[in-house]
Amino acid sequence: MQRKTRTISLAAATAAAVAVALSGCGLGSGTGAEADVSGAVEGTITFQTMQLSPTFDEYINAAIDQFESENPGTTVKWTDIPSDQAARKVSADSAAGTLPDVMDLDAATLAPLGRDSRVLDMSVQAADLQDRYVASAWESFDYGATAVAALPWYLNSPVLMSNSALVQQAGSPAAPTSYTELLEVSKEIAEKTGKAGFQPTSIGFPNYLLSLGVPLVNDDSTEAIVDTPEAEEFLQNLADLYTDGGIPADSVTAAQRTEIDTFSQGETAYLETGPSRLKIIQQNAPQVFDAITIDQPLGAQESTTWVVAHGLAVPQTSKNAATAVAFAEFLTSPENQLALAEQSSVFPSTAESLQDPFFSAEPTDAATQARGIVAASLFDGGTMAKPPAVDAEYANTLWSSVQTAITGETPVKDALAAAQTQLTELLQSRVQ
Amino acid sequence: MTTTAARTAPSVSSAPTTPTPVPKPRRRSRRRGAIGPLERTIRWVLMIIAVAVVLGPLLWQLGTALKGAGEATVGFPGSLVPSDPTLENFVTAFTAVPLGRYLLNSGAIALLGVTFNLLLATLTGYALARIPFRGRALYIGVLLATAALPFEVILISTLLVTRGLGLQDTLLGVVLPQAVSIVSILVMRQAFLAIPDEIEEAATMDGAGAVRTFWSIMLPSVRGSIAVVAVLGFLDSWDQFLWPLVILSDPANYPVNVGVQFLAGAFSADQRVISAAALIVMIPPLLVYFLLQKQVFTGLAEGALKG
Repeated sequence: MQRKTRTISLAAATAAAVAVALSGCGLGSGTGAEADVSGAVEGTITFQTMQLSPTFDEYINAAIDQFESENPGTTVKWTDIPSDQAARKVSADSAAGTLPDVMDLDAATLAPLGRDSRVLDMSVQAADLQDRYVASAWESFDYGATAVAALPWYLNSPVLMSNSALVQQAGSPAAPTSYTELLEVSKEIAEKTGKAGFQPTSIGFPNYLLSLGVPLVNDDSTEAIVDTPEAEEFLQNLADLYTDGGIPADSVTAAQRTEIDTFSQGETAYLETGPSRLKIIQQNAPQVFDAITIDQPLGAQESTTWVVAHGLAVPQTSKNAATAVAFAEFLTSPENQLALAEQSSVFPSTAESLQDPFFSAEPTDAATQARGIVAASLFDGGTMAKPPAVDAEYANTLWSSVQTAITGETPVKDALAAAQTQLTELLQSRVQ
Repeated sequence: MTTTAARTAPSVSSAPTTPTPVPKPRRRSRRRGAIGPLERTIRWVLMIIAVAVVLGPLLWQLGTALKGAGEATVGFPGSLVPSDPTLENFVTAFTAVPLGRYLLNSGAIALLGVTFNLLLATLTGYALARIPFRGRALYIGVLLATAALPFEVILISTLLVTRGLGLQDTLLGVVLPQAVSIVSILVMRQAFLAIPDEIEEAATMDGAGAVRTFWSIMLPSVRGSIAVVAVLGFLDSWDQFLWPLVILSDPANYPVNVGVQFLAGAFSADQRVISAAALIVMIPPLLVYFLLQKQVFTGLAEGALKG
């Protein structure tokens, strides 16, 4: 008797486990026709941003008020979510059909929705607006299935920050202008000061290769291309630099500290990052902040500087797509983007706003200097959109392959070949 | 006791070869169960290391939280003692984000979580331990099988059910899916199993009904395990992050774990304020733990008895 119940219970338990595992599937599949955007602009929409509160509470609330008064009968409900775990929240909401009507997402987080045609194609819904935005921003949201998955909102693009104290100690070499030069100077810094030159990151690595002319993916994003002579040379130099102490040892193995942390701790001489990070360095490392000098970003001369675009996307499931698109157009207008940029350290994606005197004003400090450099680079087409297939998942897969090559455990050639195989598998799995 | 005697016996015989008088009193004191100076030193060193490992990071964080605006917070170990101490960061933590509101939300979630957990885990654990019914083994089997599932796996189905019940964006919606943890049920079941049958039989002989037996005889015997379940329930509720983030859409309803994230963003990340907020968030769980500490240790022992 006892034994019998036990068998039954085991079977039931297995069945329960299987049922629970299966319940996650088969939801929210496929998409029908494009949502209707011809309706009247009225009613309530929900608007979700990624960690803009509390810094931009005033700006967002004022913009919402203005939209509501210009479009009587509309209500915009604003939610702000922490960027940590944002991807998970979006995927859960997407599966459950509970995505907000207008979503502020960066190109990488939006990628799964864009590839699956779960958001409106702005090249269809707002084709006439294309000229409003700089090209690299408009192209950032091309996921194949959805040509333009979001209206470009704010942008982030880097400058090169140098710790002048360390650079002087190393005999004041000229600031690097490319990643190849960055490696050379880093070696010099390591030899003369014992500190590292810069910290390579998993997210940054695709940018390095892209800037060197490695395409990363083929034209239709079905195959990865990372095993090229340029990549091999760069990776070999990086591995040599690791041996020479030119990059922080733990940055490849443990990565407990971000590149901002090591720079703030005075352990690296160069940091290529967006001007918005200046404030964080100032808050936490006033001494290092005082020693910062600002230069053109790496790859500026070849127009290969990276740019991260945030866009406003409207899901296919939106019940009020007309109002949602209207609000997205309103918020990404040149006037509104300029207003946002004026109170922050991000950049407008609208060409008109980038020409504003606000950006070209004579620099008075590191922040204004950085602002001028980035705005000019964005307006002059100095930036290059990453292929949208190169998202966080791609970057992490690539990084885990090259890590052992940097530390010298695997030959560079083998690591790149392995990376190419794995990445192609990743891209293939997305096609199906 | 016997092992101590056996171990000391040979060393006594070898005493004449060691002329120094020091070992003798040590051996004597050891025989009485006390410890010698060497062992005492080792114990102290180990204890100090353990305390340093546990308290060190907390003190470091406190140091950071007390630093003034001009001081660097980076570096290893950096300056641990603030040169310009200020309490301003604790104030900023409350004004930069509605931390008070978040704490209240978390408090409400934790209170509901503990209540549900206590109620459901005690009743379920009691039934599973002491009331024979058809399918009991099966029930336990299902519980155990699902206990291994990480919450992420059932996130979407839970979201659909909770939404279907109309509980989206409510604190009840945050609490219900984790109203009872399987670990709590198992802890209570073990505790009830450990009570000798004779006690229950004696209560029945004295004329106590099922409810009376449960309330007056059984519950007081498992007080320790109840404390364990209360602490576990509190910590589970207090530590939630992903689920509240998914189910809540009004930031005014966010619990403190989600809320403090807003202090560290791409535009601002003042480590002093973040440290201050983290310390504030740590206080309630510590209080709960210290209040129930004595019961918790008895509770852990209760579980061990039947192990």
